[in-house]
Amino acid sequence: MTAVLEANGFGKRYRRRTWALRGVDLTVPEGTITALVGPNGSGKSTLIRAWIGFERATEGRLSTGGIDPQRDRKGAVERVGYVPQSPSLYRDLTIADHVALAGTLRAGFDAGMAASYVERLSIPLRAKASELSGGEQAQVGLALALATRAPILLLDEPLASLDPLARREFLHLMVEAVRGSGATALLSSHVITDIEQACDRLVVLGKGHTLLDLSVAEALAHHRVIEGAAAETAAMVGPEAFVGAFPAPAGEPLALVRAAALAAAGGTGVGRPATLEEVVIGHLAAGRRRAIDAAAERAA
Amino acid sequence: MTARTSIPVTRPLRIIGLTARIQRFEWTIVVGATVLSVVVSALIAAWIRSAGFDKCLTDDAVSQTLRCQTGIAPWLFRATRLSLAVVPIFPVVAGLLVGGPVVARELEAGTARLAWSLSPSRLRWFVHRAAPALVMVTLAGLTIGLTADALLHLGRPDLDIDRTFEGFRSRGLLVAVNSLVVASIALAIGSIIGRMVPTLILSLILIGFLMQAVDKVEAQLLANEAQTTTSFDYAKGDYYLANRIQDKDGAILTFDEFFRLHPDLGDVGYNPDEYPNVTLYIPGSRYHEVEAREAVALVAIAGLFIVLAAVTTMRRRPR
Repeated sequence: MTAVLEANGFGKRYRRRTWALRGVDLTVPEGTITALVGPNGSGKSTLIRAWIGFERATEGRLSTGGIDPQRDRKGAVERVGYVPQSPSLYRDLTIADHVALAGTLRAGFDAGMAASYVERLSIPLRAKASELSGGEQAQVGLALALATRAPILLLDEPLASLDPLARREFLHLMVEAVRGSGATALLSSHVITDIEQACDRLVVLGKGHTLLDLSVAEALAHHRVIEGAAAETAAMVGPEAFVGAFPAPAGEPLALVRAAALAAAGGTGVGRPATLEEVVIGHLAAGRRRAIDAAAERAA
Repeated sequence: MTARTSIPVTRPLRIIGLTARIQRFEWTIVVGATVLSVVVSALIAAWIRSAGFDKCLTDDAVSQTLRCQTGIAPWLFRATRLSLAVVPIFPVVAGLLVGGPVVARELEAGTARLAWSLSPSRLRWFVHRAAPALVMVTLAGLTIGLTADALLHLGRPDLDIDRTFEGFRSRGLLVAVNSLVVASIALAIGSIIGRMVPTLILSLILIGFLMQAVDKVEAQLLANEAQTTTSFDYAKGDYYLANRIQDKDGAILTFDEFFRLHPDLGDVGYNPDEYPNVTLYIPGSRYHEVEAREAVALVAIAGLFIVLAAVTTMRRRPR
């Protein structure tokens, strides 16, 4: 499959000190809906903004639809429909004005498509942006991005401020439009349950690095969860199989393990299948542990 | 109405309309103040003329009458003078109000993120936002400047306003150009800083320095072209530059230069018949020439700041 979004050794450092991301190697295949998951400060927004040319790489290379966004930002923007973290609409303009505005800025912008998406979501075109809820504003942002008819859709945590119903409507619209047009979408989010239904790939970022990059089906099939303390589980399954430990919502200790390594160590059938949320949390825990170990090593 | 038909066709007027609505508050104040100023000035002028108060200014005999000295007439003339006095403030207020938010507020409010992701050409976005604002503030300044011209003519009917420096920089073309310069500076500072309040404060400081610099350069330039007279008459509308002393050999000297050459006269004083005091001045007949030259220089400065704003906007990242 052709890679539409690529990062090779990408790193971004702010103010000559803090690395937001470092050594990120990532490919997003054409025609997929990929979820980019990670804790706050893991660099999700930085990576997305870099693909549209809003951030410059400190090191490494990026590709947006075959274009280097640092050298040709215009070309990168032409290939991307972008939904920013906060809706960023003009408070005093109506939604119809926003559609008209987008038409003045972007060649090929499909005003009719944008308007029909907005009307389908029962958002009045004559309403001012300031009169809409956060969820409605995000949906307008999505409608504008979809109406660019761009082959790549970058969505930077658009679900964060949405209630469950608005979230579901947003994802439904996004999935339908992306599947219908054959576009590629990258969605960064914290909300794992929605991702499972909407996305077919999962990338986990943590502490500025890629921790996991698999299809959703692979992520589920390749991991199992074992109840028990981290040290005991790690000793039982071995370092090859052990990924990370984390508590269940009720507090009991859980450990995420690799199914293949577990089977190779003779542990077939041990534990239970992991949920996508557990896969993500397990890898985030592992990432955090590695970061702490690395810091301790540096200090020593 | 279907969704498709409810979306208006995009035309230049639509772009201007959208920009005006994005900056509704600032445009309302500037356009409102301009319209109000024109209407009030026209009403005052009409009142003065229809009531025959204009004769109070041209006819010495009439000016001493009770009709001119009491009642509404003095108030009307006072309003005229007050209107002229506030004209120099207009370019600063209007320029800051209109120029400052164009890029700064979009960055601060985050709307630049959406707009810049929609527009592959950031320059196009910049032109769509900045051009209508700059044209509007320039036209508003021109309207105020021409209104000031009319008010000056009303208050000083003895002057030929095309041949007098009376109200120099506070009327006519230079009000428009000053408005453009201030708006361009605020535009550039706003695109660099990306925050509204610091933009307004820094722009104001920079404008103060720039205006002083322009004043100094202009004075230097005019001093080289000045004529001299021993009997300067302010009322004629010539542009006063400085007082000098004429040496016996005809050289025009500043007082410092003169006393350095003649240290002995420092104690006893000098005889004005021997060393006459002269005034450097630019004759009023050169008003439009000097005005046009200053306007060209200021437009060039505005152009530099607009280019700086455009380049900064194209290079910077949204918040």
